[in-house]
Amino acid sequence: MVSFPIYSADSHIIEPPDLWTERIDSEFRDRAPQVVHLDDTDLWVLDGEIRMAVVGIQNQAGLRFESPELISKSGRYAEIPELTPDRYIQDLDRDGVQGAVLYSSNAHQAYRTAEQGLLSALARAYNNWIIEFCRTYPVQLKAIAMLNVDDPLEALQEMERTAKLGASGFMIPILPQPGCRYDQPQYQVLWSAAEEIGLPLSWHIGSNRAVFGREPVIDLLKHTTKDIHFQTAITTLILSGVFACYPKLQVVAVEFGTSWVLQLAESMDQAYKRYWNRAAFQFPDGELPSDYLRRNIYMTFQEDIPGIKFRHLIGVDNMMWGNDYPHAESTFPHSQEFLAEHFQGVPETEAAKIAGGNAQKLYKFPR
Amino acid sequence: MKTDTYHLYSAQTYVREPADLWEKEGDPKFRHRVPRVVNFNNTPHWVVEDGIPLSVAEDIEKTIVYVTSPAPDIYVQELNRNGIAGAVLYPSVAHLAYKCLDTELLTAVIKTYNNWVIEFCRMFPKQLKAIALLNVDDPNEAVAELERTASMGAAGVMIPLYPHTEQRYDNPKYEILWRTAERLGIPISFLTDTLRQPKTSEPVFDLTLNKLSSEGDVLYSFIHQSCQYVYVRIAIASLLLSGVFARYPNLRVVVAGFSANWVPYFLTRTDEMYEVRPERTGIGADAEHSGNYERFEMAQERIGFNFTKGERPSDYFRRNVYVTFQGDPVGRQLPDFLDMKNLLWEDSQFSDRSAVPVSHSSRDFRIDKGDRSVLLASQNAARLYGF
Repeated sequence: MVSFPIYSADSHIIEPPDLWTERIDSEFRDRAPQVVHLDDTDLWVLDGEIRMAVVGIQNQAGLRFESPELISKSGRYAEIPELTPDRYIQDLDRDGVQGAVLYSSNAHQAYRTAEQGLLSALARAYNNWIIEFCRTYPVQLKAIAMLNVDDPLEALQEMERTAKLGASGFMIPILPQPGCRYDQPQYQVLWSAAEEIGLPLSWHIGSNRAVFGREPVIDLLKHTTKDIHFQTAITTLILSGVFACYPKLQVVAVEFGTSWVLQLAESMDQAYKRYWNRAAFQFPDGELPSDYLRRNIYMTFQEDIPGIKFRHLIGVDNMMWGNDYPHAESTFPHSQEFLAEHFQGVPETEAAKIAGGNAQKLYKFPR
Repeated sequence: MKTDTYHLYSAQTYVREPADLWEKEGDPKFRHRVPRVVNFNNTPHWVVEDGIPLSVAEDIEKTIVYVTSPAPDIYVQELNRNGIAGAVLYPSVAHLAYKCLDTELLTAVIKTYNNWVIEFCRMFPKQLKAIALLNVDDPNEAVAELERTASMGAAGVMIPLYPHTEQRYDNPKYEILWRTAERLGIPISFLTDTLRQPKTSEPVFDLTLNKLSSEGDVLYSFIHQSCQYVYVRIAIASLLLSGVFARYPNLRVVVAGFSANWVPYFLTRTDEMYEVRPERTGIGADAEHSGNYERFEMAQERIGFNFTKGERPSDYFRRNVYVTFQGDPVGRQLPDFLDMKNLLWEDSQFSDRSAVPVSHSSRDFRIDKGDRSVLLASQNAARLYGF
């Protein structure tokens, strides 16, 4: 057990099967995400054809410790106890976690649709639902709203709307729609607004908009390399000078671990030092790309022994633990033991920041 | 303490090919399409084929136009003067020709280089070791070149980081390559800037999704430079997760020029995903993909390669994969921290600015007598390449 409060910067809800059919604007109801019943699993399908995700593996927290060979994508909603706010709080207590930042399990998969109106409508419906879900326990649960950035001005409105309703951060796609990139000027309203509102933007694993209609990653090799595009997205923001122009903008890389920073920092710095006079943006005062990694980027992990080992190279103030509950990868219900093992030999002040202090500050959990 | 008392062995040092190597020595049939230096906007550029750019043929400060390496005896003297007793030689230009669209031309370019570098090393077999290049578009042809160059004295071979469009190294067609390399005892290397073709329909791996225009996209070139190391992770993961190292336990693969900073994340993530995800990679993993989401989704669970119970992907990485590093803080700690013993020391400064190796003292890091990790890595290089 650890001796300081821990907060999860990456946990999930499971969307109820009728979330969109009940809440989405009526004009999109027939195209909204729906649950299709296959032989032994329930599958979310968008717009009648785009496979989003299966529910089984989303609700297998703890299985990895008991019977990892049983982890499976098979599973049905009917077999899962409803994940209500009350049950959520009970499981956080059981896991020894003071509070959690909540992401979707399925909604972000909808970034694969090319239909802008549909995506915006389902994001609004999801945002209303998740904010309502968290409202019951505002001290413990923090909602991350989902944005469609195809039209940045529309995204800006949704930021302002959901911030007023109580959202604690905003998820945006890792790469925007095909043909676009985050260094383009139309996105500056987003960076400016996020900075002004004072809430972080997030990139969550599996939320790439640039791959319309394509199958999501399937085989194990692709799972092990899912961080590729978010690293290019971070590189885009840093090397185009977005963080130099918006120094208080905070971006969170969610569920990718932390030790990727070691290589990316070196690679970016090396490229910049060699070719700085050809760079798209030249940093002031001898700064290097890695300075912005440490100033503006946060990253979450479930288990990352190398990350803890090399925490001073990565940034103690940037690392945030998350339990990924209730997914199969989750550290639930052994998060306390996991963290105790991770933090062996680590000064308590540093461990406390990584295990909860940084998340508490970023997401404004009450002290 | 002078470094020249240590007899360091470098597993990665660059040699600079003569600027007219291919035009003089290559197959006359390809004379006008081989790698060559041309002037473009008053700047010398290496190009290949019908003008595919390879690199600027001058250094960043425009002070040195491309300079060929000195004769082997001078080259060895310079190595020794810098405390290096022996070096494994990689090309400065030839590997960039993996950008060729014409596979026949690529094969010809590679053969010319291989003949030249093996000849370059022949007079100093104890000090210089040649890495030959292979074109893997046709694995049988690659095997023939592997056998040819090994018989001529190549100490290792290099293959592109990412093979031809839409293929990965877990494809069974490459089994013959792994089998032959193991049989001959020749290590296979991956080096930076060696994508056979960056375009692929595999969206997850496609860095060109970040490209906004075909020319003049400065930011994209930086994104690519900063993130291209992900391809080496894909290459090694392809071999690990499809069981190549389980089938060929004596196959040795070298990752050169990427430092060791990627290793901790790679090992952690690969082991973790293997343990908590039901999907697998390798023969059978994608065989059932019919485009039908029901079959595709459900056909994947544990179909493909499964490790023997209790084993993890990182066990094979530690056994079969070698990683070069220069002395960076992460690499120095890997032997003790992750039990990663197969580190090789590299002296790769010999790339941009000089035709001769650069003294250690000019580096960002220091090598001193107490630097056990560098000395061990140097000894590993000596063992692996038979110095």
